[in-house]
Amino acid sequence: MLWADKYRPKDFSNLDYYKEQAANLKNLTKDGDFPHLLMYGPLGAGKKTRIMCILRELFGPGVERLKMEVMNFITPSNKKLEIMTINSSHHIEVNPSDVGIYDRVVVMDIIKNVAQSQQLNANATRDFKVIVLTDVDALTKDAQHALRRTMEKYISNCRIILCATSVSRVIPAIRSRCLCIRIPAPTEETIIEILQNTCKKEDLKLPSELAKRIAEVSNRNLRRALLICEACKVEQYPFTDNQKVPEPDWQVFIKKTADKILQNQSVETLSKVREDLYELLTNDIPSDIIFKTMLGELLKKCDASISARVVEEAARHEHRMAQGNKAIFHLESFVVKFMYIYQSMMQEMFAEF
Amino acid sequence: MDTTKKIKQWKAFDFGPLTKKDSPKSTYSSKEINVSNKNISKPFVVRKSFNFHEKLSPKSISELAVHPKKIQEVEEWFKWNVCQNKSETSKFLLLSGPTGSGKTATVSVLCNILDISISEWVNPIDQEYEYRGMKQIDYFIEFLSESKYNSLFETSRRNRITLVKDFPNIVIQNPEQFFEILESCKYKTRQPIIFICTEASTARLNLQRTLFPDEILQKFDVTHISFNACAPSLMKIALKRAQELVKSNSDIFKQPSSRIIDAILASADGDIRNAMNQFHMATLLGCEDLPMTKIKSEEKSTKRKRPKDEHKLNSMTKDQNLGLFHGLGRVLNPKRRLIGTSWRLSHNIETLVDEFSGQPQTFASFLFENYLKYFGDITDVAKSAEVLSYSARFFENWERNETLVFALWISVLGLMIFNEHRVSKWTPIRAPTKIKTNRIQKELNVELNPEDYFYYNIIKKSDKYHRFKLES
Repeated sequence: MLWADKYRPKDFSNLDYYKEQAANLKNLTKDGDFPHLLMYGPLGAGKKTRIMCILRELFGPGVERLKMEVMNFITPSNKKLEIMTINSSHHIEVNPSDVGIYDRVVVMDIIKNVAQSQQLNANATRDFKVIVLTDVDALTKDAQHALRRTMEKYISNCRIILCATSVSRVIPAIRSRCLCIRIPAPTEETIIEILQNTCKKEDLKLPSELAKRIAEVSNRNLRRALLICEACKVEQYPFTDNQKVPEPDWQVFIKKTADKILQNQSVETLSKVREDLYELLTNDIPSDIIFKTMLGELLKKCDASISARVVEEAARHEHRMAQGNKAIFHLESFVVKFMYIYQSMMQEMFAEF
Repeated sequence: MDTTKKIKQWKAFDFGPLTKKDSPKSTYSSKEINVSNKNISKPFVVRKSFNFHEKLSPKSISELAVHPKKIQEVEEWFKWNVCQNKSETSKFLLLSGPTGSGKTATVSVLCNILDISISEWVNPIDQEYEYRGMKQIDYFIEFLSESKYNSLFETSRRNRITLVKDFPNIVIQNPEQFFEILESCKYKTRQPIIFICTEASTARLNLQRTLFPDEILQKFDVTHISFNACAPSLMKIALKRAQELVKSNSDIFKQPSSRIIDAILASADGDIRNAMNQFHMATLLGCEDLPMTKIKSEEKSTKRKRPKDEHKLNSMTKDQNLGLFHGLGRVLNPKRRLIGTSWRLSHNIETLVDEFSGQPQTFASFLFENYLKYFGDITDVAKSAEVLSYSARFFENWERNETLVFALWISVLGLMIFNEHRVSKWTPIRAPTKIKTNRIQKELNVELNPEDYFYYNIIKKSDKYHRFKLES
């Protein structure tokens, strides 16, 4: 088992940071009930951990007996869908965006199924079940509207916890029906502290310099920090201060792609870049992260005089990308735009000489 | 008395002005009328009675200008679903194909051979308008569900089918209603129904697409047999048969020259009905040769063997049907013509866009996949990519076809206009890349984002997840 999962806090008292918020959440569930929740915050901040804490607080340790189950759905056009769910006897967790544009069917059917089955167990602690939907910001508009309606209809015997990285893509109608809770990323100091604690539990000695560097590379993503730390341990132990901290391969890959763009602005380069982008996308690297990393790399090396224009173009393309689901069109368009801006700047510079 | 009066008035129409018939009404007997009728029509009698097309219409399987495999396919369907009295048979057959590919002819010939009677639906003329009396659609439903009664004229035949070629208008406007009718037919009717849809280039007219989408075909277990355009070799045989017919009736027809036959073959474009009509016209006595135009012979394609002077009949030109590749070529390799100092695109964009309005997304993704290879300058690409990115936004609203067509317009125009430094070299067209995410089975108690797969690979020393190649 990975450290990140092994040492995940199981209840509110074990949480390492945001103790005050934890106390509030505990209070929220004190009466045995709570409104629909929308947890949002960056990756690796601890949204899922807190959701599990809430569930444990409500239902007791029964929520930890998890099993995987494949659920089947049939779309109105008779297409069969399969989706993986994780459930206990008290809750069900599903990521509807796994099925792409058919997410609406999944959202509606799951909620209906759960809401219509009453808890048979007489000494059940609560008379409702909890549905955890992850990656809500990746849901299509259609599914979000369906969710809004079903959410209202079945409030009597199910509660919904939504989990998202950003609320900007969640429609206001859903936001207003939920209690929105933001979980910010932990600070680097907190991460260092947690890394040290974890290593102590594993009987390892982590030099503070290395811990600091890991925290920096992790980009305030606690899960990633723990994974990096574990990867470091696999690569070289005992730790040394100046040990190499592995950088994710996709990040290096994007860097290389950015270098290609900066070296040569031509149609041939563009078709190579397109292949790279396809490779990233087919391997599930989220398009917004590709975009962000790419922009960062490009800005690092380009002249300050054009960076304002580049960022402006990036903003426009990113906005379009976020609204649609054909990322490659917008990514490529941005790359060409950058090439064009960069090339014309270079030409002007040469003209001055 | 009353009846004779009626007859007389009816016949009077043929004879001319009423004033001439001043003799007493009662003296006319029906016999006399018949006689006079014959006398008048005598000069035309020979030609009128010779129904060229009826003589020529295929009577046996060997005479059909359809590929034998297709005929066999249809025949098997008939044998299986009509001739055998089984309960679990498919009730619907859909025949589709371009005009004049022999869909109806195949059905009628096979029915003749297999001793099946056809009852065909013909749209009634709406005299009672929608709000009064039965609507056209009600008649349609009634026809489909109650056509179990035998025809008054033929009683001997055991098996019957219903043929629908002429779809009621309301059904075209609103396909949902048609699906409901199919649903009810599935349970109500006892005899199989054959639908014949002619392929059309424009999306709105393509009945096969609107009335029989794939899920409907699946849902109602509709057998779909699609006909191809009539092959030139088959058409040649059919024309030979026609020539023989003309030869044996040389008193009323003239034998058309072989040049005309070749021209008909060259310009028929797989439409046998059209070819036959042209042939008929060419054989008429007292007509001059049909006007023809020479086809531009392409000097480059020396490899292909083709007769040097090919001609096309002027009267046979019809709307050209562009294939996908042809259409892509037009967009990616835009031809321009100069008008003074400015230029125009030399092809009609409207027909081009209209052609692909049936599946705008597919066409757009084909364009996106291939456009780079035809551009020579990064500035042009920047403009076109921007346009494609815009139109991709519109393609998200796939609920309304109008928006999609609009988006297609934008992308087509953008690609055609901004391509200032065109690269003309042969490049194979590639199908759009499908981004299928490799969703790997999740594991219990292991939570990983795709960004962190790399670390998992290191920790577990496995190659479970993709590693990006970094050396180059």
